[in-house]
Amino acid sequence: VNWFPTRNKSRSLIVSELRLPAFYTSVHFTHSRFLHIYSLSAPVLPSASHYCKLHPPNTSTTYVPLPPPSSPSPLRLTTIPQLLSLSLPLHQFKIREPPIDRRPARRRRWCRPRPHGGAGDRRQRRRRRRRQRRRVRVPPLHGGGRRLGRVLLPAATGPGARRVEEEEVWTVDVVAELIGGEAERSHSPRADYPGRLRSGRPADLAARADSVAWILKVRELYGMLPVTAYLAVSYMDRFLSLHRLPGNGWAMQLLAVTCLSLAAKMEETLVPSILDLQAI
Amino acid sequence: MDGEEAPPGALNLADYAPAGARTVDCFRRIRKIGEGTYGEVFEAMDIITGERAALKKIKLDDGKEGFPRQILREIKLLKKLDHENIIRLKEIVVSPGTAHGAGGSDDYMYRGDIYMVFEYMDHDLKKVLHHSTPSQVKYYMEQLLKGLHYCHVNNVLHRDIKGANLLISGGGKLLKLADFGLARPFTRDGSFTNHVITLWYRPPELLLGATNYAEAVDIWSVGCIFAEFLLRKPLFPGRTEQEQLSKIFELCGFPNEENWPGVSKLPLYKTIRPTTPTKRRLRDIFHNFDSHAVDLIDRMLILNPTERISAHDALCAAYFITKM
Repeated sequence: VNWFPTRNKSRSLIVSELRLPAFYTSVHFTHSRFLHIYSLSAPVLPSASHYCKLHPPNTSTTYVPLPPPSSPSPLRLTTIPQLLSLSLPLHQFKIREPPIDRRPARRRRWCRPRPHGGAGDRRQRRRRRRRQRRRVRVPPLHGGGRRLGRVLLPAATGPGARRVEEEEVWTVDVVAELIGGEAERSHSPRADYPGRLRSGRPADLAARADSVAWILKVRELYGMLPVTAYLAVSYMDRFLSLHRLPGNGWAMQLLAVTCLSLAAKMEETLVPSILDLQAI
Repeated sequence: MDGEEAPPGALNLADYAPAGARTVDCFRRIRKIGEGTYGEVFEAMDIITGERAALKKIKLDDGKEGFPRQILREIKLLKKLDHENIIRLKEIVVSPGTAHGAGGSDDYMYRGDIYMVFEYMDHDLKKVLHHSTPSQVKYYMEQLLKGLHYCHVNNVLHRDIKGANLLISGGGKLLKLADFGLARPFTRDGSFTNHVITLWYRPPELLLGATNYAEAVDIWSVGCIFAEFLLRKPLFPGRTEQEQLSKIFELCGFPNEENWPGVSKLPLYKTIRPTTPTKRRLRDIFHNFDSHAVDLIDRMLILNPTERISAHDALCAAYFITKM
């Protein structure tokens, strides 16, 4: 995917070539700022006018538009983000308070976790697993197995890209947790989003698919967690379900960078700098 | 944002989203409370409900890397934690972007500000640390340990427990842990930075350069605060890391493979030399205090982090069961 015009260029070139450094960073910034809030508190929405009025999209900049796809690719439901296609509010589960056991130590000997995984710890873990197994309803994915096993992801959509790659093993618990979060409406894209996307311009759909592919590519490049990619796509969908971006691709690119950078900040220990992300 | 679709090629210009974050105009500022690394803190009042709140203004560092991830991490943790002894993050508000770049210059951009809204607490523990009655001390310690126990069960390390980060309200009846700016979720085999926790409350394993640590680092800080309550002065007021270590060893004895297996593998162990008294004499300085309290402090300030008492066991200690 020829994603950013700044590819293989040094950082100083990024600035000089675009000739609009402030525009670039500030649009990005507004996106990210909004998204932060949006993703963390109630559905906060950006005033899009905020950056629009300031900086109307300038079509004469040196952004290279995305190459037009030969045929509009349908939403492929093969990636984890798309499988679970909606949102991931992992961070909004409330945790129950643990009861404080006031019995003397010898009377709670077998239910207390030992610091180094003694018998009590093992037993507790086993019981927890059993409990989870009972609670989780396995989504009918991949033959409806108990474990998802290996989930296949398309690596990228560009020419010559590998068709599939193996992904980390995702247990049922993880997936159930992801799906469970979608009950929360404020953290999902609007209900009519998938329909609108499909019935809208094919370019939108393709741009989204390219963004998803780009996110997956970067995830692989930096060895990020799968959840990061998922979260990034979730942010993107949530934004797109409320906003319409201009068609020539510049905003979509910024959006993808923003979403990924945000998601990385949420989940990763090492976060690539935004400039590095833009250069990919 | 219902309805009106923008024409292709333009952004959707509808101004505000439904039920978006409120703006900071919903609050009336009363006074500035303090200033931290990540920005200023104000006392404010909700104009609609009249509720008092603390607004923490997030400093956005020149926008190169967007939103600071420390703040993001703090918000994420605080949204997860829900306990009476942990500060509650009520909402996040933004200041409206009023000034638009009228001149149309490209390098001007008004970014607005972001505020975290916390519940308002009267003061912090630092003010009462040196003059509290024994019953108050017990009350504060119990709440502190409850909050910490909750964090630890949920795999969160606070990593900056000190007087200024423990807030008190309700006429000294309620203590809450605050400032999760250094907190992080932990795993058993993670490797973290060891430059956390204020020096006076930093445990020996961090001072010796360990990068794989667990809940016990918080317990050490709690032990230091507990001791400070009784002594009415800081227990280990070191000015440098070296001095801090020697102060600790002076009281707690010198660590060796016997009382702390694995200590000699820590990166900085080689650089320290035993000072003259290597016996543990922590109890000597507390000889005229409640024996249960001294027992508990003694178990919180064990050099070996794996032997240090857990928050759960500390709550079950005799100190909290006996009535004063």
